[in-house]
Amino acid sequence: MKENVIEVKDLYKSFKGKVVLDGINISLKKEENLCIIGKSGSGKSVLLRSIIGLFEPDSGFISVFGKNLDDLHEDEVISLRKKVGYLFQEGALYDSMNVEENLAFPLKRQPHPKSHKEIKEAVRLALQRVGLLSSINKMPQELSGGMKKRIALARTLILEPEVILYDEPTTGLDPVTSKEIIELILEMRATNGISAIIVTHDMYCARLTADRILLLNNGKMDVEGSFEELKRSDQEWVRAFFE
Amino acid sequence: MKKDTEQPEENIPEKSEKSKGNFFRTLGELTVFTSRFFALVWHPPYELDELFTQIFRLGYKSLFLVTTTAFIIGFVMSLQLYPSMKTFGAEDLIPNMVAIAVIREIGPVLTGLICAGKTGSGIGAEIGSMKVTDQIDAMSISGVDPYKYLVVTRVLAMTITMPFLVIYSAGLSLIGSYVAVNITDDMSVTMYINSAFDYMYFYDFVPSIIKAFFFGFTIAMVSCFYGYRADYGTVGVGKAANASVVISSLIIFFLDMLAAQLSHYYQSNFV
Repeated sequence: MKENVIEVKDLYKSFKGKVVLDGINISLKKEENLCIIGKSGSGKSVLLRSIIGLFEPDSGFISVFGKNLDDLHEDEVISLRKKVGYLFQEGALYDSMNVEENLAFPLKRQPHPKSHKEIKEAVRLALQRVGLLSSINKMPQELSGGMKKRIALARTLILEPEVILYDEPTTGLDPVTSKEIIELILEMRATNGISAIIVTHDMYCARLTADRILLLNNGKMDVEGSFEELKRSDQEWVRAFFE
Repeated sequence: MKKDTEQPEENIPEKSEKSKGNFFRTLGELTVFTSRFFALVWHPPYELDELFTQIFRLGYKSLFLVTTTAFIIGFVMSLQLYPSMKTFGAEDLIPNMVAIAVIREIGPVLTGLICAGKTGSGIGAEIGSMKVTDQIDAMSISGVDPYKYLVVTRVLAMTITMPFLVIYSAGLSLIGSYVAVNITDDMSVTMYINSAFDYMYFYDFVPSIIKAFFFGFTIAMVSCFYGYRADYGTVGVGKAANASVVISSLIIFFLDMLAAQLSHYYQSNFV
């Protein structure tokens, strides 16, 4: 049995008295693709941000690669984050930098940075992998939504993470571009053994990428299963997601 | 682990409803935010490339506005002073009056306000839009301290640049004044310079330069602070830019008043 790379136990998070996460328990195994679906505003992004340490939970336990986030100093959290990539909903490319600089940015700032030549080569390879080498000199403003997400994925991959957290990877994209992103997610696992937590509304994306699906509802995560299992659920609100 | 003060997108209405106007809370947050600068500025990596980029962006790109405004202020001051001074037969004192005014007071304050308007709003809007589009979080996740990359470099760049802009602005105002004096009268450059600096002493220059350092630091720090606190969405970016200008301008006036008091005390007791 594969070991857990991420483990969340009894996670609570509220904002100004409004409970967003109400005792969440999840685990992600090595090379597993876990999909989290739920209504808008149900706290899916908050959960992802809590896992990466951008939000501090009110209570609960988050373990990443066997390390409890609560026990880590900020420097240790930063170094742990390098093993966990995060694909933001809108890509979050740095506006003031072109594609090459966006990708080189994290590499240049590692404790033991690679040489200039090695960084250039790593950037080239990462862009080749997402099929956008021709956009190397473009500014983010010149890219379409799908291209931005692919470049953002390349920027995530360049640090060679072992887990990637995808926040709505296909939202707002046309079906063709969505399919390209989905293929990239699957390729990441096939070629690099990268585990993933994918937060999405897109049932097509969930069906193709997920080994396991969790439903987040009113801050709780009580429903779990494969796409086909959940589609045949006897609970109407669960089936509603899959119709 | 990072403490989050942000809220999720889900709670935007709640967030905007809550007043952020609590003066002491904001002051406390600004103090904590500023103290991080002194904790981080000494430690590598130093981000020199970004520092020089910001010196160019914040300093060099303000030159046109500073040049135009400073020249016009010197020019107009001299023209406005002329009729009154002529009444007393004291036209020769115009260069000295203008020099004292622009070097001691108008140069630093005017340049500070120009920079608060142009540079401060730019920094507030830039960092604010980075915040609302998750670029700051993206930096943090990739193992880079965004405070160090964004705030330390901008604050240092502005603090270094401001004194040069103040000296430049004072020089331009004197040139403007010289041109105006020669419209109404005839005065050589040498005579103008002699007259301008006749009653000026070293201690007239020093407070201006010290003030300029503080103004530069304040503008950049306040603007970064409001940018970092930007709410979600474009409204938040606008608010951040606006608050950057308003608050840094107010602090400039406050610091100027404090500097005038200290300068007066020093001159009364030690000179």
